[in-house]
Amino acid sequence: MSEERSDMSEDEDGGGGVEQKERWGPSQGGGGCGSAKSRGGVWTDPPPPFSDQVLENVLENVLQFLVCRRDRNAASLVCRSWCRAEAQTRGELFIGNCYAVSPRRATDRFRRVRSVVLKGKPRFADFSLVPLGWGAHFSPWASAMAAAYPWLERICLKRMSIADDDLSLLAFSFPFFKDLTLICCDGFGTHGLAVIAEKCRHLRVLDLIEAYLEEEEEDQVVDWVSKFPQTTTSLETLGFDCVVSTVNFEALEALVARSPALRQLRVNHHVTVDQLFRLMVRAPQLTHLGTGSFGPPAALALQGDVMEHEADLVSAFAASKSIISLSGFRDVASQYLPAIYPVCANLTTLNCSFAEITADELKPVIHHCHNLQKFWVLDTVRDEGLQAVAATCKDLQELRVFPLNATEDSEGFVSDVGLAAISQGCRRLRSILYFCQQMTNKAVITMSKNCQELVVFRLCIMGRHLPDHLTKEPMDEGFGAIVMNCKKLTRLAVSGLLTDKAFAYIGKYGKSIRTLSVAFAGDSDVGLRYVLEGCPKLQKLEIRDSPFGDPALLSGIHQYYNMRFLWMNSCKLSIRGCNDVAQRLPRLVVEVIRDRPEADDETVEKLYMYRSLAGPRNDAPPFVKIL
Amino acid sequence: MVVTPVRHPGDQRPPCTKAFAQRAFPCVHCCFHVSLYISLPSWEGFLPPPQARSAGIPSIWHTMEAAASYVKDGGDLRDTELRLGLPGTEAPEKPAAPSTRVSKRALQEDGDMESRAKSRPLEADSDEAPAAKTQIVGWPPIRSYRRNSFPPRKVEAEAEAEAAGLYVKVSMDGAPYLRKIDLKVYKGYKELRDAMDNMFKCFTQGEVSRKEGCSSGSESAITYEDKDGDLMLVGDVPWEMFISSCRRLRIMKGCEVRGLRTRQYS
Repeated sequence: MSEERSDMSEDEDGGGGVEQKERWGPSQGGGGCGSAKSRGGVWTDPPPPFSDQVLENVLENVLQFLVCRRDRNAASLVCRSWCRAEAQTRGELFIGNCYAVSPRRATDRFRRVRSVVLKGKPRFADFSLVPLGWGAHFSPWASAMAAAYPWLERICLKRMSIADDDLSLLAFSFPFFKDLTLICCDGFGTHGLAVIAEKCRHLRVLDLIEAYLEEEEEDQVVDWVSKFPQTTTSLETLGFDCVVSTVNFEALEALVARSPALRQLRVNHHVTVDQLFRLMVRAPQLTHLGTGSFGPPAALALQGDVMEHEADLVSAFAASKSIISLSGFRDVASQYLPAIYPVCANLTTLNCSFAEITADELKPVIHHCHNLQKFWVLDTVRDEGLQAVAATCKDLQELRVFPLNATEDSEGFVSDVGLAAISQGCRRLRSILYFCQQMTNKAVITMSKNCQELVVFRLCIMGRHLPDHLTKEPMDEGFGAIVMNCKKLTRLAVSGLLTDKAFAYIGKYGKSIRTLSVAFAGDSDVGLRYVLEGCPKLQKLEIRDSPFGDPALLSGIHQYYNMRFLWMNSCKLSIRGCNDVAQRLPRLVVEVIRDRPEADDETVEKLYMYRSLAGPRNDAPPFVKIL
Repeated sequence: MVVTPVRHPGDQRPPCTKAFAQRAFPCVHCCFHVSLYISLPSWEGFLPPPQARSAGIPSIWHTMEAAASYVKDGGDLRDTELRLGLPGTEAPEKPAAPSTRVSKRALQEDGDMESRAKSRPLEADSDEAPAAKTQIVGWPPIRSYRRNSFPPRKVEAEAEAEAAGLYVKVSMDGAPYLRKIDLKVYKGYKELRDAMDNMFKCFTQGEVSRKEGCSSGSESAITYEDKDGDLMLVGDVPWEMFISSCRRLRIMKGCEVRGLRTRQYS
C-alpha cells in the first residue's frame, strides 16, 4: 500500500504541500556571504555589489523555507535575483515528465538538491497501452545526478525503466543516500537491490511499490536481504511486497531484529503467517505492516497447527500498540482474519484489496475500524460489505473498490447501491475509485451532494458504453452533478455511456480539474473541444477509444503548453492533424506510437504529446515517430 | 520622453538618480514593481493569450528604445529587472535546433534499446491475449500487477470442485461410522497416516501397527479403492498419482490384511 508521501499522486497537491513541508525542512547548506563568490554557474554577470549580495543572501535565507514547489515556481518568476536565489535553495526537485527537460539543464539550474522525484511513462502504460522499450530510462538522469549532487539523499521514481547498473551507480555515487522509493518501475532485479543494500550504509527507506522485477532464473536470484550491513541499521521502511522471488527468511528476521528504527515493513506473499509472527515479535514498534500471504504455512495445514498459529498471531497483534496501517493479505485464510481485531481501532489504513473476502468476513473486522481513513478492498464484499463500511468508518477519506474479475463482461459484485451507501455514511470522502458493472445517475448525483470534499472521483463502469441500468439514460447527469457540486474536484475519470453533454458539463463546471481520464465516451469532436476550451487548469488528459479527431485536437492549441501531457489512443486522429499541431507548437514533442507495422500511415493509433525544453528525445525506439 | 521616477507606495528610499533606474525591490505587498521594461518576449508560445497578459499590469512603460539603451549601460540591474520574459533566460531565445544534447551513455544505450525494442514491441499487446472473446487491451483499467495476482477464473464447475477439496470417505473395519478427509490438505503419505491415526484413535485398543508378522489382533493396513474399483494398498504409487485415483479409503484389520499381503508378495 502506498502512503501519501510515496504515492506521488498529485491530486492532493493543493494542500499536499503540507506533506512535503513535514518531510524536507530547510536545507542546511544555504546562505552565507561566501556563497555569492563561489556561485558561478549559468549567469555570467559580474559579482553584484555588496548591497545586492546582502539582498540575495537575505532572499536565500527566506526562500529556503518555501517548500511547496508551486510556491517556489511562482517565486522564481519574479525576477532574476529571485530565480537564482530560489534555484540555490530548492532542496526537492520534482520533474513530472522526465522528457520535459534534459538532466543537464536541471542539474545546472538547481545546484543544491537533496531529493529528486522523477516520473516517466504516461499512466496508460500501466494498462499495457505503451509498448515495451518506449523509454523513460533512468540512466541519463543517474549519470547527471551522480556528477552534480554528491550529497543526494532521496530518489523517488515512478514508471521509469531502471537497470541494475543504474542502482549500482546510485549506491556508489551518493555516500549519504537515505531513501529509495520505486513505484511501478521495471528493468532491475535482485542484483541491483543487493548492491543498494550493501553499499548504502545510511539507508533509511527501501520501498518497492508495484515494481516489476526482471524475471530471473533460480540460480540468478541474489539473496539481497543478507547484504544489509551486519551492524545495527538505520532502516525505517522496508517494502518488498511486489518482489516475486522468495527472500531468505532467516536473514530477514535477523535484519528486522537489528533495525530498531523500523516502522514500516511490507513483506511479499512468500512470507507465511508463522513467519510473520516471528517478524512481529522482533519489531513490536511497527506502524505499517504488509502481512504477506497471511495464509497457512504450506507444509502444515492440519487442524492442530492452524489453531496454534492463530493463537500466536492474536497475541502478536494484541501486543502491538502502534500499528496504524495493514496491507498484504494475499492468500488470507479467513480463520486468521480475526487476529487483527486488537489493532482495528487504531487503523487509519487498511488494504485488503488482494483478499477475496465476503461481506460476512469483512463485517466483524470493519466494525472495529472507527478511525479508518483509507480503505482498499475487493468487490467480493459486495454492496452489503460497503454498507457496513459506511456504517462505521465516518472519517473515511479514500476508498478504492477493485474488481476480482477485471473483465468487461464479468458479473460485478458492487453497484450503485454500494456507492449510495458510502456517500450516505462517509461524508468526508475525498477520493474514490470504484469499479462496478451497474450504476445509476441517481447514486452518482447523491454522492456529489453528500461528499462535498471530493477531490478525486474515478468511476469505472466496466462494461463499455453502459447506460444507467434503471433509466437506460446516458451517465451524463451523474458526472455533470459531480463537476457541478464538488468544487474541490481536481481529478476525474469517467466511464459508461456518455454523450457530448457530459463533456459540456465538464467544460462548464470543471474549473479546477487537473487530470481527466476518458474512455469509450463522447459523440463527436465537440466533446473534446468543450474540455480543452473550458478547463483552464487541465494538466493531464488521457483519452482512449473516443470519437475525437483532428478538429478537436487543433482546438486545444492554446492549451497544450500549459499541460504536462496529452495521451490519445484509438481515437480518430490522422497524421495530418498531428503534424499541424507539431508545426504550430515547436516546444511540444508530438510522438506517434505505431506498434502495429501493418496499420496504414494516415491514421494515428496512439498519440502522446508533451511540452519540453529538451526537444525531441533521441532515445526513441523505432516504433515511435516524433513529428 | 519624460521619465518620472516612480516611488512605490510605502517605499521610503530616495529614488535612484540614474535615468530609468528604478530599483525594483520586491516588496511583500505586491509583486508589481515600479518599472517594467518591454523586452522581446522570449517564450511567446508559453504565454497566455494577449488579452490575459495585459490584465493587471501597471501602466508605466518605457519605450523599447530607452530600454535597449539601458540594458547596454547598467548590466547589474538586470537582476531585479521585471520583464515579460521569464527570468530564467539571458537573451531572447531563438527556436532551438533539434536537441542533440544527450550524454554519451544514453547514446551507447541506444543500441541496446533498439534491439530490445525490436524483439518485443508487440509483447504488450500479446500479454493481453483475451481469455474471453470480448477482451480488449487495457480495459478495464487495472494494473498488470493486480491482474496477475488473481489467476484467471476457470470454468465454474471445475473451480468449485477445486475449491471444495478432494474429500473421500474413510472406513475402518469394526468402526460404527465412517469419516471423510480432504486429501488435498496433506502433502504425503506420512501425514495421511498420522491424520488417520488421530481420527480413529478412539476405535483401536492400541496403535495401528504396520510391522510385518504381528499378532493377529492388532495388525491393520490402509487400503484404497481406485477409480477402476480395485482394492489397492496405500503407499505404492507416487502421492500425486494416488490423489488423482483414490476414491475411498479403508483401514483393514486382521486376517483380511494377511490375505492382502500374501497376494501382494506372491
